[in-house]
Parts: sequence; structure tokens; C-alpha cells
Amino acid sequence: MNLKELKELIEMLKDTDVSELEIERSGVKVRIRKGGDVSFHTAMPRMEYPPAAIVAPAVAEAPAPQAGKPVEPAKTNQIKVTAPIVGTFYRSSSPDKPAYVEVGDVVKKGQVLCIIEAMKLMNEIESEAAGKIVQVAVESGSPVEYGQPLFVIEPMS
Amino acid sequence: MYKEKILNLLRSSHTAFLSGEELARKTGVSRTMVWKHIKSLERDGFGIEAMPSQGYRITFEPDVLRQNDIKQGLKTKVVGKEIHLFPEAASTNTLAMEMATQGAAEGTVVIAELQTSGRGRLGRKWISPKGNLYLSVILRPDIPMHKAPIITLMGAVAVTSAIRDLCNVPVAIKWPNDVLVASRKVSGLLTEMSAEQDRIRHLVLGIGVNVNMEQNSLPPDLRPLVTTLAAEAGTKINRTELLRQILRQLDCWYKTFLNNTADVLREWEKLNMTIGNRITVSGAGETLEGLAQAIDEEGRLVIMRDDGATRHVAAGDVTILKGARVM
Repeated sequence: MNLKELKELIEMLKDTDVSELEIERSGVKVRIRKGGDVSFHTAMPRMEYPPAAIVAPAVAEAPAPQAGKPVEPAKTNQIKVTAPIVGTFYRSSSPDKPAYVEVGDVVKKGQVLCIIEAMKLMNEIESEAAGKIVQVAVESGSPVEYGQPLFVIEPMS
Repeated sequence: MYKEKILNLLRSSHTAFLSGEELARKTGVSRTMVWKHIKSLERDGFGIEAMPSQGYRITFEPDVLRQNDIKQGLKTKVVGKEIHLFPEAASTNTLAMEMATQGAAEGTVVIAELQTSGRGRLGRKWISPKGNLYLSVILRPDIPMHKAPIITLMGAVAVTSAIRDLCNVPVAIKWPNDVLVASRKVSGLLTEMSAEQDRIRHLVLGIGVNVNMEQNSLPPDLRPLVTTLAAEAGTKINRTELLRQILRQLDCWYKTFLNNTADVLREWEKLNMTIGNRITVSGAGETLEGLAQAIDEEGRLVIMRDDGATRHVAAGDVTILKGARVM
């Protein structure tokens, strides 16, 4: 489905009584609803994010890490760090080492945030900007897809 | 410099003695200096016999890597253009990553005779006593990010080819890049990459090859899983020759990789021992069992499970299940 076809569809709908239309073709699903609301998403199998961590018991001093939550819509100035390759996501260089970053940490530009492994290629993902880690979106050891959000960073100058 | 010249002269005269006078004349240094260099070679581990009125000859060559020996007839275009050789390093990968960050040229190779903190993936140890090969190569390929992991298969192809060229040992690749004899590991690769969102800054291809180490330098629990080329071939291996051949093969396959990754994948298929076997892959929080069917165009392992569903695996530990080979 290309942009031209999409435009034609919208044109076509204008003069009808149909208020909403959904079509799926070659893996792309389009829903058009009158009133200016167009949504567009792929019908590829989506990553199911694990549910949010169970709330820590009252005795715990620190709140449970926010790993594994679905990514909340970022405020306009927030930066989403996404996976540049398909692979396995790790928050530390080895299981017995602390995570590179935790929620609330302030990171520098170029600081390593995590590793994504593909075929024993360990890809160190660095922060593009200085800022504060607002969210860690994936559990360590989980598979990640290309473009999947990993972190949300609130930029600081 | 003069020391290397003297060494070359002694080597080329084989068992015949070379007089101090002749060595002095041919290298252009004094006889006192010749004597000093001979002493220095002895400190390096060479056995040198000195006979009054006859001169010197080599009686023993130590199993030591020397910069000049490695470069002798190397003739590579990129890999090994610059070689840094250390008697000891914490980890050649760590060193090479630091050098790369500071701007070291593509093809720079870092070699150590032993590693005190040799690493595998996920912080696992790579046991690194003397007698083996430990090298890391800095590369800066200008390629799309999703093709980068294929470089690890390229590394395995190069190492396997080099071993096949020189040692009479039936080596093959286990996905993605372990080099095995039967089911025991002789070589492992760990690649580390520094990248921005869509651009590779540099990557370091780390290679460990078990060549001549004593089996008892390994912890007992690893001995059934690990072997050396010397043990398999039944004879000590010339590490310098093997290292040179690995560098040559890397140079050649890196060029192929940059031109056409599919050629690397085809060669990997020829040298592999994973495809066609029943396997398990563990990693990313689960273990899959099924038939290793193929590798896809990005080098991922395609595994067909018993229900007929296929999965493309990007990372994990493969175990080949015995006695279940599917023809």
C-alpha cells in the first residue's frame, strides 16, 4: 500500500456514508475513520512485552526496577532509544555485574546503556544524548526486534 | 633490528656454525655487539650453542611469537597492517577496543602470549594460558548495521580455513562461530562493536585458538569440552605460521564480506557442522529444540520445531544432540 493508494481511499470515502474502513493487504493494516483520525500499523507479529514487575513488598527499601513496562507515550522532548539490530538485550556486561543504567540515573552522551547480542556480536548501545533515564522498557535477557524501544531518556543540557 | 638480522642469519645456516666475525661482517656491527645480541636471544628462550673457534648455531627455537616472524611474507592488504604484540594482556579485546576508540587504523591486530582476564560472551572466562593464540582485530566496515553480525560468521570461516590449510585436523563450525573438532572446542570468537544508532564506529573481532597448551592447564570440568590442535594433530603446531595464515584468511574473507555477504554465508555452510542436526538453542529466556534447518540471509539460525513451525534465532548457545542426524 503506498501513499497514493491511501489518498485515493480517503478521497473515495469522503462521498460515502461509511464512517470507518479497515483493510489489510500484504502485511499492512490501515484503518480510516472519518473525522481526521487515521491509524496505521503493521500486522506483523508484535513483541509481547512482559507485564510490569510486581510491586515490591513494603519491606523493600527501593522500588522495583521499571523494566519490562510498555513504553509510555514520550513527552515531546523525551528521547526513545531503540534497538538498531535484532538480538538479545542485556542490561549488564555479565549476569553478575550491575546494570549499566537504572531508572533515575543521569547519563552522559556516549555512555553505554546496554548490550544487544546477535551471533556473539556484542553491540554496545550508547546514549545519543546527556539526560536522565526515565524508563527501561525491556527485561534483561529478552529478545528484541529492530526498532523496538529500549529506554526513554529525558534530555538535560 | 640487528638482533633480528643475526637471528635470520643463524636460522639460515641451520646446523652449521657461524663465526662471530662473519656475523659481525654481515650485519655491520662489532663482535661485542654480536655477542650482546646472542645473549639477548638466549634470554628470549633460544638455545644457542657457542663453540670456540667455530662460532654460534641455534639448537632450540622457543615457541614464542615475534613481530618480525609474523610479518615475514604476510602480504595482507588490511588485516595485520599494524601489529601490537604483548607478552601478557588482561584481554586483547579490551585493549583493542581502547585503541579503536583512540583512532587505531582498520586492520590493527592486538596479540598477547597470554591473557589474565580473557573473556567470552556474557562475562564468561576464556582460559588463556601460554601456548595458544589470542588476537583481536580492529575493523571499521562501512555497511548497514543489520549485516554486522555476519562478520562473526566470517571470522569463523577464516579461522576454520586457516586451520584446515595447516593442520591435519577435521575442524568444523558450530553456529554461530565456535570452531570444533568432533564436539570439542578449539577456537572461539567474541566480537564487540561500538555503534551509534545507525552507524558502526568500530568493531573488534576477538579470536582465541587452543593450539599447544597443556590439557592440564584447564579446569577439570572443561577438559571434556575443550581440545587443542596439538592434541588432535598429535604434534606441536607452529603458532607463528598458524597466526599468519589466520591473518591472511581474515584479510581475504573480510574483503569478500564487504563485497558480498552471501559468499561468506555459502562458505560458512560448507564448513559448518550444525545444519542438518537436531539441536537445542538456549538463550533469551527459553530453550528451543528442533532441526537446525539453515541459516537465513542475515546469518541467523533457522530451527524447525516438531510442530513444523520455524524460528530464526539471533543469539543463544547451541547443543548438537547426538545420534540424531537427519540425512
